[in-house]
Amino acid sequence: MAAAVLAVAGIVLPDPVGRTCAVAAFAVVAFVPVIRIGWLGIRWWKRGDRRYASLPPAIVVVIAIGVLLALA
Amino acid sequence: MSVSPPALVLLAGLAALLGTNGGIGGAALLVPALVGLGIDPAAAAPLGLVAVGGASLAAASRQLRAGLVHHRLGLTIELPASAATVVGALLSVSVSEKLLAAVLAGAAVVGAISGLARSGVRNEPSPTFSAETHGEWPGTLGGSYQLADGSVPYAAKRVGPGLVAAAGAGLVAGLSGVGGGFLKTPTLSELMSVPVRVAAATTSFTLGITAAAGLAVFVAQGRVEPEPSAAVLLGALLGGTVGAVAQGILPPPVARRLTSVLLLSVAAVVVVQTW
Repeated sequence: MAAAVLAVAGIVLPDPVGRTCAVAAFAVVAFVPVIRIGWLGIRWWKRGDRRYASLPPAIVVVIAIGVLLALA
Repeated sequence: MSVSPPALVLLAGLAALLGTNGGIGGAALLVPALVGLGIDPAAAAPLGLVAVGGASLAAASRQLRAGLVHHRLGLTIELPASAATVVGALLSVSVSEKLLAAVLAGAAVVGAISGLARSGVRNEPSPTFSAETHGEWPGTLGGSYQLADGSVPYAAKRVGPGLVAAAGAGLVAGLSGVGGGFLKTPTLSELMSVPVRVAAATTSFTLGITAAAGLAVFVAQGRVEPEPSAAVLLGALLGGTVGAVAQGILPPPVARRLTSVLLLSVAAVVVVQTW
């Protein structure tokens, strides 16, 4: 819902407010999946499911390495 | 950008509606359409991944309530897929467009044929599991889901080949921005023997992570434009919401056939557009 409102604002509002909203909408799409898997990892860790709890941080590390390589 | 924001909203909405319903994500249809309308493939790829992320976001809450997403299985296949997505995104500036088109079309046809070749329902309802809580079973790659006539248990098979295939899907996603759901759903359902509804829902979940991985690299490369991205995101959210509703209604064989028809359409679009 927040992403949709920000996306509409990003389309209809003039710059710089519109552009800021568009960037925020994009950030929601990029960060929500990461937050979601982080929450899953913590939940699984607390329940003793250690093997699968290691997957979310591994994925985040992969993404971080990709960003660093793209910036290099 | 030669396509207006309202047109981008409409295109992304239609693509997400069809793509989410078939478990292939909307970008497999959107990216070829955008390139066909004159947008440079390098600019279309980030828009494709925005559409993928938006459709995944829109479908998330409904799929969670339905207990169809197998998160452990999703993250297991997503680790190699995300790594390959990052590699693909880094390489995407130096790959021949025709080679990429051939890979896309070939993979789509293989996925479509594997879906059409099988008939009936492979994972049958079992009265033994009727009292179980539906969803994934902790510590395993198995689970159960509810059909109208009973509880359906399942367990993922051939995990190793599945990881390799998921990495292939991730590579395609990073190279082209199409998300790779049209490869992941057949991988889960046909190769790993996961029921197609669970495969489609789990794929939608993983595609959000694939999109995040690819977009992170595209942002670092300076290839993301906020305003067109907002338009595509709005369309994807609207189309993905409607598509997720339909995903829970369709019987598994119908969902499988619909996915196959969509895959063949994607292959035809890619071939016609490139040659």
